[in-house]
Amino acid sequence: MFNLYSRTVWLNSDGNAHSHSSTNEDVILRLSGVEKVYPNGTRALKGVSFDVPRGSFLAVIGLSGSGKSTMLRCINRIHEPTGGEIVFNGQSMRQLSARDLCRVRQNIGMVFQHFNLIKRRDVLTNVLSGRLGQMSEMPFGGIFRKWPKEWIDEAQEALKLVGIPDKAFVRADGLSGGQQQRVAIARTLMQKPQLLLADEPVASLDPATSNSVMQYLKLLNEKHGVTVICNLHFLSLVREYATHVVALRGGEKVFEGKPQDITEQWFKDIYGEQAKEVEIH
Amino acid sequence: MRIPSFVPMIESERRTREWSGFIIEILVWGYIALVAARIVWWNMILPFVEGFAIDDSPRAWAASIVSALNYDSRYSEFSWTAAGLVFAAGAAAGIGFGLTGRGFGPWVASLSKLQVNNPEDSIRIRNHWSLARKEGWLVLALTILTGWVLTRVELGKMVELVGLQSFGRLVLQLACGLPVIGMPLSAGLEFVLNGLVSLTNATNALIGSAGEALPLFNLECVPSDASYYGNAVSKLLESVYLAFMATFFAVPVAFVLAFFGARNLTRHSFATRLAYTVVRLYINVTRSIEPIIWAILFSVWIGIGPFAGALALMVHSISSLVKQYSEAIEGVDEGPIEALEATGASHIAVAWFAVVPQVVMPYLAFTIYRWDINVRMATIIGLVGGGGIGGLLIQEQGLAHWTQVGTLAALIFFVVWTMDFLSAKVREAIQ
Repeated sequence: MFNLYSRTVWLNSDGNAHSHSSTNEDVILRLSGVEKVYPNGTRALKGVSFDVPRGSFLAVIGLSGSGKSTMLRCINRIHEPTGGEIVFNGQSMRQLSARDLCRVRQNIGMVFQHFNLIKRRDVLTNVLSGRLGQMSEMPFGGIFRKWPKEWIDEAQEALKLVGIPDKAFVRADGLSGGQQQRVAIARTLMQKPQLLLADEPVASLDPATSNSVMQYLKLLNEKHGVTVICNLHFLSLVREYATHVVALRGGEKVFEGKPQDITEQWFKDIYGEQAKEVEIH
Repeated sequence: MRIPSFVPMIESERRTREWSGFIIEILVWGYIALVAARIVWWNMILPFVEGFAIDDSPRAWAASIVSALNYDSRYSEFSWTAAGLVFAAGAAAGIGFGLTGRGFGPWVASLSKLQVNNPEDSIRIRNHWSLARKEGWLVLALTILTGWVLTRVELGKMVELVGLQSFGRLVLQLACGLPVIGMPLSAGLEFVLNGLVSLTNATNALIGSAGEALPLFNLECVPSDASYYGNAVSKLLESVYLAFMATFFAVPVAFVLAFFGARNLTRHSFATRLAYTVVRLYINVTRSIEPIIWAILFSVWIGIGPFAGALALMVHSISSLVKQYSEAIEGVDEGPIEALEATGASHIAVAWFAVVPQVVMPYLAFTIYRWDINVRMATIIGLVGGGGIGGLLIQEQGLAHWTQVGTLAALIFFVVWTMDFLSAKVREAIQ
């Protein structure tokens, strides 16, 4: 049915291949030929291209080391891409000056596998730090300013939304993994981004907690209209939550389409012949 | 000079590394030749041969060698020309070894973080560097030999009786100066030492060795009086407060500079990379000039006294703290930094919210330790006019008042001990 070795087969919902430019959906993010070569010579991304429709929940799958994390970090230039073009809201990311980059990053949230909270600070400060972008124009990055009262109220609201309002004054390293990830999501809520990059948000959590964290991401996606790009390992989660899927292998895109289009053969192509699907609910 | 392809390294650097390996190899063999000629041949073998030539019963072969080389350990000098020639000969051998690509130089140049994947290659690499290992051991052995000759190690001197006797007298006087326990301690030590002296005399008499019997130690211990303690303690407090001022005012300066001295926070723009270089240059220059030199500079500038000492310690503390602080910053978890950068926060906000909370504890430990060091250093600073107890110490030592020196040393010891005890407690509490 499809050529397994083709790197750029595009599929729409009925499984027909179509070309890159024919999409008319409102595109929030467009990657074209993004490359990343690390200083030690590793070629992590070898020209990845795809579009992210506004409001979609895009899952990125692939083996460890296939370039998923690098790709997410290239989007908001935490890692500087070495080639290609990234267009966010019609704006070329790679041409932004340092100051404009700060401004654009305020619209792009990020959650991580290891939560990346400020461990020695309380939960409230962690949540409020999502707003630091808005302070970046102030002298000294706003570090000598007190948090505005409204922001603190909003942070409390965000914590209520993720179900841990009672933890506001607990130090972040005193929370469980699932709670820490929820703090990270609350931090993103404070940021009010248009796009959320989630780098394996559930990879270090147990299955039950994983599902609840994914539920919060879904809530952000559906209720708050945040476009989500999420690196995932479990196909069951992909099928349940994602609206679009991109698969990477060795720094190249090998699949793009809908979750239901991932057949057994595709699965083997993405994860290798030996792979077997494991279920997680 | 080619380094074989199974030695792992980043391919784009292979050429450069081969060349630097070649050059290191030449220098290494130059060094080996020079050390072998100057130290082993000139300082060890020739004097040994000469010893035979000027012995009570001179040996003909030794005399002929010495006269042929026109060598006399008292007058002969190893000329710069000779050194140059020997080095050149070694370097020529180095070119030969370097061309094989198997020596110590290529090995040093090939070192990298990259790991070998297959076991066969690791065996081939092991075999490939067998010459390099031998060369490495040779360099180490020659270097230890050189160090031995240059530091004039003479273990024999440690057991000479004249030296031991002077040492004993000094120790007894120092012990006499210790507060409270001074008199009984020196009396007890004297008793033990005299026992040893009598034993030595008895042994000498028994084996009929020539020479007079050694005299017994006879120290009249006059301990320091209360007024002396009063003066010494006030000087000591001067040193402690001087050290505190130096540390206290060094901390905020070091705190700010440390952010610019950390590699991981200064990668993003040309300006910050320049700041990194400048800060590193500054701390390395100021740190390599000893506090005692700074104290001399400042006492010439603003006059002898504790203020000059405090400034000297402060300059040194700033650079040492920047080094320690910035290394703590380089060791922080990058995760929170990424997370805050992703929110669009400015660099200052990232440093304040993501870095500072992670380094507070190590900073505190480093700072207390620095105060501890400064208290000890303050006594040294006093030697060159930096005020405090050091000045008193150098005065007493100059007058050979060893009992008083003992008193002062004991006082300094109490302060250092207390500081160490306190800093251990604080470090325990903040973990």
